[in-house]
Amino acid sequence: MTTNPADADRLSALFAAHSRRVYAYAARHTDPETAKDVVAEVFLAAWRRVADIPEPALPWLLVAARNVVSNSRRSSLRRDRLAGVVAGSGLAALMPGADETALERSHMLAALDALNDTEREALLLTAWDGLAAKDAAAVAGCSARAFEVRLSRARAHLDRVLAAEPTPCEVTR
Amino acid sequence: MNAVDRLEALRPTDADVDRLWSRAERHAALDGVLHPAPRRSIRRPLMLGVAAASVAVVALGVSLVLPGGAPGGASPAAAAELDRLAGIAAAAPFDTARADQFLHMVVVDTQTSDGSAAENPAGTSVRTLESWTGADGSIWRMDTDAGRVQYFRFPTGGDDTAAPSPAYLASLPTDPAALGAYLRANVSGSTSADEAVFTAVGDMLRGGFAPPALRVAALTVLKGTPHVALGPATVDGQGRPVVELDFVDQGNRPDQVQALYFSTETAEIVQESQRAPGFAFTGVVRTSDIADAVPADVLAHAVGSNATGASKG
Repeated sequence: MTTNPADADRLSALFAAHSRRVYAYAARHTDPETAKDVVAEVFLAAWRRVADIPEPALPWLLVAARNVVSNSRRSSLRRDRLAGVVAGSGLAALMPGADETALERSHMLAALDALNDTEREALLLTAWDGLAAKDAAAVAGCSARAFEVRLSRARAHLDRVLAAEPTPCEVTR
Repeated sequence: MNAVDRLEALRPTDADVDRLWSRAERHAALDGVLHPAPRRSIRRPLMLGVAAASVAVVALGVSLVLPGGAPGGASPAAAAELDRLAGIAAAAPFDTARADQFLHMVVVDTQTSDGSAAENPAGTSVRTLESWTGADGSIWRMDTDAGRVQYFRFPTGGDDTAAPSPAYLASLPTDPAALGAYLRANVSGSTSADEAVFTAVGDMLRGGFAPPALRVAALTVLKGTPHVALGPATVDGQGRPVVELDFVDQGNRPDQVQALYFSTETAEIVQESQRAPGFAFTGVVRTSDIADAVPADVLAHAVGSNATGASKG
């Protein structure tokens, strides 16, 4: 593990810049409490490889987070993929809950729930994590081409699902 | 506003994150990374219930399958038992579900904690998980926890050692060296590549869909995996004869033991456990057989983890 002060500075800068985004990613794949551990492990990995982390660093960090989440679930979670349910709790917790957005939030959560895992992830990697398709593809573990197809389908699916539901205005009118 | 714009408008802000993960917690996390206490393990004890995704460090890299019993491989005693288990696995019948059938399992999870970790209340809790897994990997499950019953449906796994689909398992190399190289190249996470391989083997062999040749290869891979040792148990929680294989890495996870218990009759995993100071988790496979259908009440009540519903039956 590095002890170079410059490395420590870089890690601190990476942490300041990206730890919240890594947390948000982890929370939607696990739950708000476990996400804290995931972030710690991701940055511990980053500390060990700080010289190897490319710029922009966020895709690298999210790949690390994905690997931490997907490879270290406790045995019963691995057995039954309960993580899908857990992820829902983190996703809901992350989204703003102010009165004026609560209904929209509820609609969007329901719509996201109607997507399959890969569609939902494709949308969130781009819309929430702000990744370009090629970077998002790396996090999703697929080719850029496959990701673009996946994202296109996901957008179309989300459109259909939201179009099938009353909008917040329609409900409150 | 289109759908994606609406989604982007709901992107969690820094303030949303701060509400869940305070500034003080963030500072503590960074401090823990930069100034770890001696032999500190960041991974907290596991907990039963919803938030159980424990964490580990990415460890990538490729290495060869090492000979068992040699430095860098399993202990000589473990290697000998793995050889024996591989022989049993090779000869064991492969009774898996047909396309129209389901692998039915009942697993009893027991967790005991002394309460030293905030997320693990002191005491003992028991949860029973009864599942029906289709040949495509789809799972219907009924959980019973302190009299409360919940139903779930989970979609099929994929090309992933963490949640492998039966089709993926059937596609994996059955040559031990090739499988070992594949795992080293494709698994990540965990405190070390060795731990990731141990975990991946457990994931692959859990559930009964790994073909015999893959089981033999996976056991042989464990033989070449450092930190694998023979554990003390000779019977599992059901009184069945087993071989306990432990993963113990004092350098990375001091005083923590991850264990797989293999039946000496079938070489299948019949129990798993994790032990750490003040904490113990055990999952025992109480039933594993083939069912022709998912019970109607499970189909009726199962909630999909991604709204897949419970329409199969």
